[in-house]
Amino acid sequence: MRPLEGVKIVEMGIFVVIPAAARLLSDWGAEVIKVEKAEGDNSRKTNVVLRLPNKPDCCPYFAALNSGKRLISLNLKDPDGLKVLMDILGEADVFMTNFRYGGLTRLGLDYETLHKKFPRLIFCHVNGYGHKGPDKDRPGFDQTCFWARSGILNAMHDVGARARVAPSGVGDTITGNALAAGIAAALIRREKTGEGSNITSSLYANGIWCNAAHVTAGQKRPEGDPDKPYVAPHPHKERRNPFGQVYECKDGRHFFLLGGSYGKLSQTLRALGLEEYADDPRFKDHPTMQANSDILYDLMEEAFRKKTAGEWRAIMEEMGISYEILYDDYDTTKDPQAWENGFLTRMTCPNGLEYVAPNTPVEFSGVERVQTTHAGWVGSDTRAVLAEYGYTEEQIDRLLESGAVTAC
Amino acid sequence: MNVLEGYKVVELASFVAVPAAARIMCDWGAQVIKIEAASGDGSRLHGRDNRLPIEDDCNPNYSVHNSGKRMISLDLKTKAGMEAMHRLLADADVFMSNVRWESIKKMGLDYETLHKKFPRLIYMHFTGYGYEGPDKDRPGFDSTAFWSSSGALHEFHYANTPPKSPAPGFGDVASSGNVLSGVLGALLHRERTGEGLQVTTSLYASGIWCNYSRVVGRQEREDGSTPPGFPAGPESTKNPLVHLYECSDGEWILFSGGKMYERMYKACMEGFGLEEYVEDERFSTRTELIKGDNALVLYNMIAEKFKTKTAAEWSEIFTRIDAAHQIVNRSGDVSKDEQALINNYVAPMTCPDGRTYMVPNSPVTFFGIERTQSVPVGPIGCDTEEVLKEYGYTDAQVEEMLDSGAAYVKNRPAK
Repeated sequence: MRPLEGVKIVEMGIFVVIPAAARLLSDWGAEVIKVEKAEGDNSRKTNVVLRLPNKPDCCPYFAALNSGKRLISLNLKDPDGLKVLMDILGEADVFMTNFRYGGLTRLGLDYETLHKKFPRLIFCHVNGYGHKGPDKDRPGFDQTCFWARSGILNAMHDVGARARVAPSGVGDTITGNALAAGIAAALIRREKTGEGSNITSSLYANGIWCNAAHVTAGQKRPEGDPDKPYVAPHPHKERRNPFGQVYECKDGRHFFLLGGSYGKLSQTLRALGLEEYADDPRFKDHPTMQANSDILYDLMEEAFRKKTAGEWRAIMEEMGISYEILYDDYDTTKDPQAWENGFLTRMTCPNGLEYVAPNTPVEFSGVERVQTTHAGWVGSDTRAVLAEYGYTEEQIDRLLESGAVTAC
Repeated sequence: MNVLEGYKVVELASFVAVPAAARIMCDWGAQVIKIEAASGDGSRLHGRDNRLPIEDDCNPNYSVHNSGKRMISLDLKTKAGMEAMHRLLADADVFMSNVRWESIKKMGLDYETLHKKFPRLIYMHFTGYGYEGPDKDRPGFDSTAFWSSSGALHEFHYANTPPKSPAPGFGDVASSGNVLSGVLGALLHRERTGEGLQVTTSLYASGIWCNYSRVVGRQEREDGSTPPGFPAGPESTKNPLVHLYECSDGEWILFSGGKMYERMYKACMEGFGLEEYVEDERFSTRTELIKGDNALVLYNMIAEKFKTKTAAEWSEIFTRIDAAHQIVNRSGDVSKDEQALINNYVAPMTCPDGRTYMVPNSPVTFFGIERTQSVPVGPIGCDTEEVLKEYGYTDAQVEEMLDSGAAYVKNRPAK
């Protein structure tokens, strides 16, 4: 039995944050009914920039976040469409959405209204900037609220280098993880109290939480400002620790060197062919090394250019020093480590084409990992779901005709 | 009643991913006992990289992911230390660890052994790269296993500039959401079946999940299409309505108004002061935009416009047309941001010595339950004596353990 078996979830998510959270819960056994408008979830169009197909029989991008869900399409502006949603919510354990709260309230889908009708229902809403404050009603995406507002984006590039927009959906999926946890916690509590919950989080809150180290470091200090206050981005050379940095190798590949920060300094210098500096008093302990980090950084940068990434890997492996060669996403899709652990899967679309797609990242003992599969088109389960909720064939036909629901 | 009230968690973990998940469980009402070696969790030292105090009673960086826990210190290589560990586990609902698998097995703290003894215990074990494959025994950190392996780090720089090491702890915290939700999924399962499961995730698996869009988007294609190339510079953009632009005052705006491109195109162009292109078919749909150099032409026009106003002036315009955007903050701006303060995302934390630091709170709110605030974490083993006594050890037995080194309290007053 999968951990969330028997739990019914209604997901009304757009783009990534809510769909990603619901996908996790679906993989763990919950039954997820996703409600889309007739044009479909906006994220169905993200395929354009990635040059992936987006057709009823092949939509690999959408599948990554929506695999395993049942897809129904309702027109919530039509009272009949809204009634279908209410019928489904009547049997649901969880309702999760990132519609703007004003819109939900107008539809009578706000917490207060739903809680009165369905006191056991767990209500989960997420927005960009939080439920209070001057920006509470502003539209938000992970690139704006999670990355730009929290300071992380600024910390991801050097002074003088151009910052890049974060790859789409990273901040959303991270926020989705927190929401999945919140929902699981609320379900546990409900087992004991019988009560529903009202859960929220925002992209900004999660950006701050993920950027905790820099947020804590970047503040005005009660002990007086340090001589070099911490303000990212730094010029490339002004790094306080040459370990935990990226170096370019002879073959142009980038090498992330981690080991050395905590006690492996002289060992690492020997590994890099810098024996003569292994006992250098300028690098004798962490604070002294920090004070001379620019010198050490230059030495190491030069050393790295003398061998290929593969050669450095063999050396670091031998010496037990932590490292990683920077993969591009294409390397990742072919990485045996990811395949052997089931982090990736090959998904065959109904049109016969195969795509690599990630699986969700959590495993339970004795529970087989759910594989990502083709997600289907807008409204592909509308008929079946409505029939389950007691609608007759004629009633469904009428709803389709009036446009209150859409099917394919 | 807080959400996880009554649950007991034993954490044997270091650095960030597992401790951050356990911190959130604390916030939600669980009782967490963290076990450190006498040398302490390595992340007690992380603050020094950012020139923050790492003192026993004032360690804001360490407090973020360990606030609210009871800290005890045991030497698990001693018989008495391990005996105490088992007493804690006998009473616990969840065990969470990132100790390497080989060591865990040697200590007899692996799932098989513990599950036999404590069949209701949820067993969470976290790795760098998973339990299978060539890298299963390699040490993993977020910068390596989360960022570098998943391809995500490459997505933050252009081909002609070097990549930079990521924001510290970011990949760990991102993965901690999977650690936490996995534990809670297993706990719900136990409430209904009585069975304790083993649950796992890894930095690499979480990295792939978070970077899903590029992992899917850049693969080899059998549909005949070519994956998008690695961008050489900002001009390689495929959607100039979602991009970073520099304003006249040198500040940057992340403009995200064109996520729903066709719907927002007209409003955005009017906002930029490019009304004359509102009907231009080269730019008005995504399908046309990605043809030829249309996107580049549009990008250049917008970039030029951005240089004519300050970030604040642009922000006012974009707010008026309801276009998503954000002035790019520095991390130091956050602890002064009204929006963050009023939502209680960051809050002041006062150390016992009177110094006050702004520290983030965990990111999920349950309405009707007060958000738990970060509190200072004490020195290694500060709760050792109290916890051991609670678990049935007499004063004399605790003394004996402290004397023999099976248990430890930093700065224990001399007899």
